[in-house]
Amino acid sequence: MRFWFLIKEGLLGLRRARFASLIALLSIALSLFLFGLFLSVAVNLSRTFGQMFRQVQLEVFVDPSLDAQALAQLRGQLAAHPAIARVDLITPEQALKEFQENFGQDLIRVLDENPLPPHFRVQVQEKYSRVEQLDQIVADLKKLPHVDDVLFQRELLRLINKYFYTGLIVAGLLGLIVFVITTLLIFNTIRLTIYARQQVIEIMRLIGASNALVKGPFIVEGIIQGVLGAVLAVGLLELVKHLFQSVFSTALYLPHPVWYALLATGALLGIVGATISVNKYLPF
Amino acid sequence: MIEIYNVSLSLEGKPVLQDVSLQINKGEFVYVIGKSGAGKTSLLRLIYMDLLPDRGNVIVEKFSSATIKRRQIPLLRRKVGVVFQDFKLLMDRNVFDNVAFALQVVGTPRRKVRSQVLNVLSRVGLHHKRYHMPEKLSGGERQRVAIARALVNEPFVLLADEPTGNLDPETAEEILDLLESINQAGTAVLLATHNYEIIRKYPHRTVVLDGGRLARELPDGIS
Repeated sequence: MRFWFLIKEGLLGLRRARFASLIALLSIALSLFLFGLFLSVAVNLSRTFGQMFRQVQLEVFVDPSLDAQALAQLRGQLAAHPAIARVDLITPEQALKEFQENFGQDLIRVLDENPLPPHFRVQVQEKYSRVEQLDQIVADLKKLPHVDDVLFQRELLRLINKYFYTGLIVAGLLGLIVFVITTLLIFNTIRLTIYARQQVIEIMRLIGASNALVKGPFIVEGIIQGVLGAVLAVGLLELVKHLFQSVFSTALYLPHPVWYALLATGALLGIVGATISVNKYLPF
Repeated sequence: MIEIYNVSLSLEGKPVLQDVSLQINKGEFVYVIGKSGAGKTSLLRLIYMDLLPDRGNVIVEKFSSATIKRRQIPLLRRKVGVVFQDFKLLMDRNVFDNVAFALQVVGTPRRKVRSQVLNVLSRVGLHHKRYHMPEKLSGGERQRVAIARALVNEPFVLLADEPTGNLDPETAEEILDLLESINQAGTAVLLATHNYEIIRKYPHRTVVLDGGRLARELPDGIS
């Protein structure tokens, strides 16, 4: 009886103050959307940079006159290095194809021949991502016979090395600020809806409702508003994801944990916000 | 039943009640009179323990202000009905739901809620208006709804804080008639008012508060 009374009163509360509830819902949805947007930007950036960070590739250029057997032998020597995770031979044909994909130019039409030599694309193991370590690996590989040159995006990696963790800290702080703002916005919204209904609280206390019973319907309302707001926010984020995909032709990574985080945040802020707000009207 | 011993109370640093002692017996009808600010409302709030005294003790049935725990206060309030000058009705629900609310919050089973609400609405003469919204009711009818809500849990005492303050003299008398009949059915009534006319017309034991002190007690009301 009491449980259903709480649910019923919570739902009735939303229905009775339809306009205020709708405004509160939209404001919660918008706050959570902003929070979710921040989360997805942070997730996408850290994913992209993290990938660069973790999967460093070296381009190993070799003597173009080597035959298949010599290339296979060199490949084995490269793979034997303890820091190397994977070695791929990029034939001149593949290299040409990649060049065309990246730069959109047909080199053969310009030069009448394929100028690109065969080379190896070497993926370094994840634990070797610091520039100094990579310099050492490059030096080792250069000592191998027939290796002309070893290249990697040294400058970019140096910058990522230098700023990745600082970036993470800054993003974390920004995330905290966005979260605090979201929390305050949601709390304030809930506080205003409860402020408008102080009389119900007063009457419930007068007729002998326990504090838990006074809070119950407001907490139910808070959870409903928080979760519905989060569902709306997730819907908006999905919309942004699709827009992003259609405009930039690149998929935005929006993992399910972001949804769950928003739903949980919505529900939790609904509960805590309602409890704090009602407590103000419960002197003892 | 209600015993108040040497109670003093300050609100926001100002003394509101000083050394007040008072007993109200089972089934009694008592007026508390005094000017505005004399401490009438505070005295009532001490009885339903919306305020706790700084000194002294308030005992309401088995509950004492000195020892009552927070979670016991709702239990006390279920035994004490309270009505106010401004009715304090929920304007977004009808007469039936306003009264039923008092039963629902204490966990009364649904079938009992219906019969008890209809019963108490008959007692206050509003059975036929049970589906009306409060805004469609007159002041007197609203006060009847508030009385019905206060009575529906069968309290042993009804505390009424200026219940006729917003009503015309004729309606005020109707409310007093209702309170008299409630009292005759066994419920004690403690009525705070400064409407001396109704005390003359419906004489009962009267206590006079003046500046937070119990100034006088008139066993048979004022003549």
